[in-house]
Amino acid sequence: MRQTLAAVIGLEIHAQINSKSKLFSGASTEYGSSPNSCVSYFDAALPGTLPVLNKYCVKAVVKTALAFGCHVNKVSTFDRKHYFYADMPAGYQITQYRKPIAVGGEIDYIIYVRGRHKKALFHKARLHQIQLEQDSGKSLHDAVNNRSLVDLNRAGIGLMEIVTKPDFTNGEQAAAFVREVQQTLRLINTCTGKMEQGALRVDANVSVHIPGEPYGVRTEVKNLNSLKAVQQAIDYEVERQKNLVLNGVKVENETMSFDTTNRCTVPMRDKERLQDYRFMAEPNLPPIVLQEGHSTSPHMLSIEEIRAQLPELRPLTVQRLLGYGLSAEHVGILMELGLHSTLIEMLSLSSSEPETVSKSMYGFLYDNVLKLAGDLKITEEDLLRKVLVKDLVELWSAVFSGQITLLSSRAAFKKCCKKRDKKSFSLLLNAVMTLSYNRIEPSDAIRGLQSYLHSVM
Amino acid sequence: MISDYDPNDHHKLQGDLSRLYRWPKENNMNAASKVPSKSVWKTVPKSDDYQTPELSDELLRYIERTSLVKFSNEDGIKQLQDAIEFASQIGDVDTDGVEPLYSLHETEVAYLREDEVTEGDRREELLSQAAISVEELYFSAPPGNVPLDQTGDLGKTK
Repeated sequence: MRQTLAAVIGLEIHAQINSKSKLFSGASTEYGSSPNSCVSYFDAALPGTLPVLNKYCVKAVVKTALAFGCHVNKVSTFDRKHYFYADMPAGYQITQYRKPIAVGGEIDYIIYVRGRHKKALFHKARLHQIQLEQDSGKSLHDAVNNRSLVDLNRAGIGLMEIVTKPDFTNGEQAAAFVREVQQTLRLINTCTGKMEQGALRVDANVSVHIPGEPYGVRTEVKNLNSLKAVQQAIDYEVERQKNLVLNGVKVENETMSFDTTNRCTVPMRDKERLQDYRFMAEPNLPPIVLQEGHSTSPHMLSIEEIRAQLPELRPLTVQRLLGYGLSAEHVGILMELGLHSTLIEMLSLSSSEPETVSKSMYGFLYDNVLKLAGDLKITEEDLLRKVLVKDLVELWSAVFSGQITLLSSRAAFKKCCKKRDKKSFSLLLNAVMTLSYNRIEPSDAIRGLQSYLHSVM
Repeated sequence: MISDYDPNDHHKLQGDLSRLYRWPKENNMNAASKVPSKSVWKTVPKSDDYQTPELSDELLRYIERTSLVKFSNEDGIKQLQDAIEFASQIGDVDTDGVEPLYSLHETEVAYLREDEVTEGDRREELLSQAAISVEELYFSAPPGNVPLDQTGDLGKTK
């Protein structure tokens, strides 16, 4: 019976747009500002204030929609969604309900964790829609004094809500998908993707059923703010619902939150029955109008002009890397860690054919970067930001031609990365190349390097 | 903030408003307007098949909760029923073949402003408008939603 029950999962991803000012006001969106210091009269819902739409936010959501293959509506409208909560001072959120800016679309993603999977799996999930809306403020709960402290700095920041179809069956798929969305948003530069800052937050709708039968009653697990939480919360909730069904207990339609310490889902305190949001057309905002071809007005952006600004998108990069002879598993790792662009740049700087050296470069990058990033406790991407790709190619070719060992390249790499700026890396690299011309022990290389440094500095 | 009122700001506000919409010429309020200069009131006869709706206690509690207005005494319920009756007259209008209108601005285009930080550093002023603030940094609110009394004797108090 347990085996026959299948989970059905859909996601709502809230991505904060990385604009300087808010969606409808000129207040700053700077993360970590002093409480209530980035609040305009409009954000505080003072009577008589009106929304003025941010061009950057419209551009960002169109860019995102195009990157995910959505159909972009040339006319889209705003609606009010009413609810009463202290962090939403107007008593409603301006969102897009009847006619969102984008519908449809699908996203390819790869599931591969070394050690857990034998093979990389290529998946696809469909999108339902993307809508533009306001973020809410933040409440801090002061349990001692029985009150909420409200900070409206976040209130009114532009959000893209990316709603998927119920295309996932477990937490691992959902987490891999969110990672793909995060990487794409960073690539096209519409959202920082920083989950630890709340710039990307996920709600998961979870239900279980016997395949072929109608979907079960679903619960919504809200505000998942790390990839780990996405995976763990969903897996826990699926098991919880399966146990209920197996024991003949009905699953209740409720809102849950995820307790990261005890790794379990718990019902939220104000358990609402079916909420009545009393949607109505937003009377203070005309529709967003987009143009297909050349833009004839600064207030009507061109879809084609925005499309032309998109960089090479990740699915194409995957195909390119596979074409260079790398395995699906290697490509999966490169795409996950964000090492792919460095590898491609290295290939373009090297005079050798990509097919003949791609595997060697992959090994060089993987062994050095992954290990060093771990040692230095920084992300792989941050580590790569410290070095020039042309230096990497030089170092790699010294290894490839047998001049130095992979091990001494790592020692050199490590020493060099501790130097912050790119210029000194080149200098140090030269020193290493000169000193470790023949294969020597890394400790010798470092000693040599130190004496060299003494002589030049 | 009223004390800070400056008549010159009034013009500035109008300027700000006009940035919001690209008003079409025919909407110019100064031109011959279709809006009558005085209020016009016409009573519509009650339609024959109109029935005063039954308002259950459950429904009343629900409306009170969503509207955050406590009105369930005899007068309040009478007023609500009158309001429903008045609003339901709109159902008598023949709208066959008429496209629904969602907003008066639906044929306009939203003004797009440049992404610049121009306002927002007004904490002291905003918090001075709040009933309670904490440490001159935060607004203070009751924890979560305040539940309305679910046991009150509806329609019996005066």
